Amino acid sequence: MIELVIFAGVAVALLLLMLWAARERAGSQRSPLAAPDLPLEEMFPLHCRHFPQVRQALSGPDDAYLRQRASRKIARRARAERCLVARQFLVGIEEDFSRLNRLGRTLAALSPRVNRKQETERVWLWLRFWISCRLVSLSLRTGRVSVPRLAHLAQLVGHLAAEIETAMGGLETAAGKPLGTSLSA
Amino acid sequence: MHPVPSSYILWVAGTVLELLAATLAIRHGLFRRLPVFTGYLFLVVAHEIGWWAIVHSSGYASPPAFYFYWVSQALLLSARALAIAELCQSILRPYRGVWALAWRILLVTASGLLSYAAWASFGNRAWITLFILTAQRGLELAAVAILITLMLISRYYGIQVQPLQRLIALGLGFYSAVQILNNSFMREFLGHYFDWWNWVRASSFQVALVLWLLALRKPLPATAPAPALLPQEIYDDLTPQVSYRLRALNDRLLEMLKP
Repeated sequence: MIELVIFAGVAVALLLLMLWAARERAGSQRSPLAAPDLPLEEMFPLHCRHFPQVRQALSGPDDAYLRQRASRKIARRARAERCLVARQFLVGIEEDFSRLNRLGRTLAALSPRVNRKQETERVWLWLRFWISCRLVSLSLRTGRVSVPRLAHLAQLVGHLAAEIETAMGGLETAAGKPLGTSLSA
Repeated sequence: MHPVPSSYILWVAGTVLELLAATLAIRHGLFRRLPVFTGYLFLVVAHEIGWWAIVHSSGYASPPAFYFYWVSQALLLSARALAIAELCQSILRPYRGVWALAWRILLVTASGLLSYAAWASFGNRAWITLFILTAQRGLELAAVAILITLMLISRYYGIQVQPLQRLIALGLGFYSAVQILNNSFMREFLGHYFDWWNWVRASSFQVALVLWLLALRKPLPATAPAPALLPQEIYDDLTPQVSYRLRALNDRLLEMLKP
């Protein structure tokens, strides 16, 4: 009977997984391999471009100023709002990570040869990042993550975007044609 | 033991659907794109007619029915395995880099599950019915696992699966998943469950047929042109940079979690 229960569970789980995996993606019409007009820029990090504004909103001096000058109630409300900004920014960073990951996957899909190690590592990184993001989000809610650390993370994504864009520019020059066209072909 | 009238109704409905699917496959030229799958549809029709001719004349429990059923099941299962391999190839092969990686993943998955099927059925070799049911369950498990892996790889790399391919995969996967469940019940309750087992098997195949008919109801769209691949150096230059940055992001995120 135990075997029956196990296999019944496995069969139902496989059926659900099959339905989930085979469903048409909402954005499939905009898939890089399906749509010829997908702008390459959509694969680059976007949220990190707002980093200077967010850094200002989360800056330490602002916090100190509030503590000195504002009433306790206003300071508490400001801290709650800063926390909300931080959480929203974390969501943005997650989206940026997804975009970069997507760029990597698209490059692999359109490449004549792929490196098994690189591909495995990217899957592993994505899994780790996804779990870490959930944990950081939880920590932000409980106030256990300092905002400056989040700002450092944002800075890193910003550098990342700039470097990849520079590298793409260099490759475009070398290839003699815009990669946006090639990627979306 | 001869079939009851309701079995004949189920058989007529199933045969009509099978004939319709085979006819549409020829009419819409599916045999040019997926020849093995088209051949499988015809094999199903031939099996159905042969099976009912034998059952009608000798009954379910006769030796000819027993041998015909299990030999034809082995043939159909092999044809289905080949059709699944053909489907994997038709979806992933145009993407050379991904295909080179994916066929190895699919082969490892299939080998692992087929070894399990062999090991599990060997443990039940004392009784032929139990042996066959266990082997069949293992093989169905391998089939559905391969199809899920195929869909996950396509999804991960953003490879577009045509509606035709998707519905064929869904039909094959649905039938295999239901058979895992069905054979598990049959192993547990054996003779008491036979009528139900037969009914579930036939009905689930009809559901799969309806999915395939949905895929074949309209003329097939023109074959998508092969994707234009990028020069290899683009992958070689950019991928390590992307991976490096993703790694750095992960490390920084983990740092944030440290007390």
